[in-house]
Amino acid sequence: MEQIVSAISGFFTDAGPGGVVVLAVIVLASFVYFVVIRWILQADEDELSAPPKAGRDFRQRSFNK
Amino acid sequence: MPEQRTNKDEVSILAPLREVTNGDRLLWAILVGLVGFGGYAYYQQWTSGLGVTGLNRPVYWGVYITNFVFFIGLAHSGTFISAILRLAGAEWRKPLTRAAEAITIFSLPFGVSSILIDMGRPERAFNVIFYGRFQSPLLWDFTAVSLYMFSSVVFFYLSLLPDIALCRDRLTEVPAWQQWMYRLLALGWQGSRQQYHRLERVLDGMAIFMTMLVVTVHTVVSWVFGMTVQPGWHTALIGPFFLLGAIFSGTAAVVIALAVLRRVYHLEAALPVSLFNSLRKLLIVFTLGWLYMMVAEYLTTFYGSLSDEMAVFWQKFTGDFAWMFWLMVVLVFVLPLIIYVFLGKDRIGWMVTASVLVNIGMWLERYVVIVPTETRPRLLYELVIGTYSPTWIEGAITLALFSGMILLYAVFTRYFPIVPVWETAEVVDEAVETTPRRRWGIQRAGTK
Amino acid sequence: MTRWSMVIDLDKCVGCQGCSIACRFENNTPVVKPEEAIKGRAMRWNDVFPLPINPNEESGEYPNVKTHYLTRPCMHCDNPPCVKVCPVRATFKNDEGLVQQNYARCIGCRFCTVACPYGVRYFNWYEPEWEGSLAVHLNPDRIESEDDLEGPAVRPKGVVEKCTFCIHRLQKARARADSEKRAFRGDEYIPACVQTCTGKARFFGDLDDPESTVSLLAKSPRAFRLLEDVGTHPKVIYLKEG
Repeated sequence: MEQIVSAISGFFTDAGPGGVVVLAVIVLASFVYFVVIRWILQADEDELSAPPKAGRDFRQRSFNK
Repeated sequence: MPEQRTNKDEVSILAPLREVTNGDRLLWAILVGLVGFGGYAYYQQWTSGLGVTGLNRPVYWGVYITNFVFFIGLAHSGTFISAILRLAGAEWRKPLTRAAEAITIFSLPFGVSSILIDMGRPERAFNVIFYGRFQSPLLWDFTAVSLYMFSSVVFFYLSLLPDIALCRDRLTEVPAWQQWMYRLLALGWQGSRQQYHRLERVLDGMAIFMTMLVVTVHTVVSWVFGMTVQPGWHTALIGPFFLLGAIFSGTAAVVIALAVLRRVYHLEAALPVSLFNSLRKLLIVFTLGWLYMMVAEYLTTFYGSLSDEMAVFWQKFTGDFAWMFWLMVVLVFVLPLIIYVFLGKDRIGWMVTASVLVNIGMWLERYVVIVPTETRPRLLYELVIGTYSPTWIEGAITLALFSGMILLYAVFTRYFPIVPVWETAEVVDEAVETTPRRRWGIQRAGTK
Repeated sequence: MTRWSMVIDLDKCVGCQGCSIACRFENNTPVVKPEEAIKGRAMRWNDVFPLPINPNEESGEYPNVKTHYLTRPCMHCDNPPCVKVCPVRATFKNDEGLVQQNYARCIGCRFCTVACPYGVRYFNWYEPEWEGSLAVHLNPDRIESEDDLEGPAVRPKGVVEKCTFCIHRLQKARARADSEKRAFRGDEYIPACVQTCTGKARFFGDLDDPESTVSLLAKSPRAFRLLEDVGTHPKVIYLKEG
């Protein structure tokens, strides 16, 4: 327990931001990959393959109303 | 609506997954045994200390660090084929991508393990995170390799996902646990057009990122040596040299893997000879590229004749390491070039032979970069022995690393299709009826 | 600022190796077995070795042999290549110019060891051992705390060690001055090798103090440093024979 506490306090008090960089990179990558995988899987089956351009979409919606 | 894709080779690609033979079990048992033996060797080292190796003063880095560089180098095969060739639009690469990426994800852990095995206090590995100094090349290594390993797994998994769903749907006679595994890992993939579209876009994006990572990873690995001031290591060329060497040995490893898979799993239709011919052209370029790097490095050293550099130079060319250096030149350059150019076309057997020689030679090459420099420090008269004889422990551990990689690969090929079914399939276009035709912004009546 | 430095007069050095012996007893340097020593694994923080006069010439035939000896501690460079590469700050330069080594944090990667162009670093290949009476007479002075083990502290296997310019003696001298409520003087701090030297060839002091012996000797026309062109700025200054 003390080892964990001293290790954590050492992490925050020591010179050298190296550990922070490594963790930040991995955490950022994890977040990006999680979001990306979710995005892929949540694709709506009925939607078209090419996302319609914003202009057309707007027009399409206004027609449908 | 699920996108319709058909693959004429689907049956032969999925065939290996439908049973595990006794031959497999024997192979796996042998490999597990070799890994276990390596584990025993490591246990000796763990309890006694690194003294059980042949390392000494001044050769503080030897076989383990060679393994580290070699396995990380092998990993570049997958990324080269999947990511770089994808960006280049080389469609012929498609049947190879998974087999190549599997080499990546199954060699990286052994590269990383090699570092842990080499450490004097491996239980303190996390000190690198808690007290890490980003000024040290080892931290660049840690970051780059971790990110590369993580990204490769994600890239691999995403490329595999539609095929896991295929297994889920097609392989109904496999054991229940295996079906459960497919269902779990498929993450509910439906194969809709939109999903495929998004997947392709993500893979395109990741291909760019992975290409940048590949360049970064092996360059920072080389900088562990390049950033010291030691003769033979401290050269600006070391980054590109290692990078080319990695892609070279990795591509040769892909040839070996493909040839074995083709033979053992009867994938002649899915992996035609033309693939090997395409790889052959790349390997010829890499062989010549390697020669270029060697000439650039050693001619420059020789011409400059700095005495510290020349001490290491002569160690390699005529000294204690001459036999290894010239053997490496023969195995990496002379024989492979002759074989690739004159004998390799349409002949898979010769391609494999040359590729095996390349990989043996590249392992020697890493050794020849690392050890001779250590045996000729600037203050030569400090030297006590200046030689290095690896012990059985280092040999057993090295053998275990290779066995482990082959084991993971072999097991993988029995549970997942090694040729991507979805990527090599043809898309049957069903979408016509759901696409509203638009002219001048006005919708056709009757469409959604 | 303070910059601790050592001057070694090679004219006075007789190659007796008293410095090496004093160092190993002061710092509890582990002893290795003969078969390990043959493999080049002996640990000598201060090493004495023969130095060829001209590497291309013979050293002569007995009894007309010409040999010189060099005694070499850690250079405690001002631009240390070892400190640059340590991934965990187990080795670092303090603000008095001493390159320290913390056994408690070292992960045993040996990057510092291969980076040092002088070969002053040594690795514990096995658990340190002292046989017989050696084990009884370990130096009790040591730098030892939960996360900091330096100098003569008993170290585990798998860590790197090197000459510290007897930093524990510096701490002791400072503590003594504090307890006696007076200022610490630079000449109270003497590493073991300097104290022992039979030929009175070694000098130690603050290079930033213009009056110190080392500062004055550093200006000698005989003064040189090892591998000056590598850019490490070593703080061990030799006075060449002549």
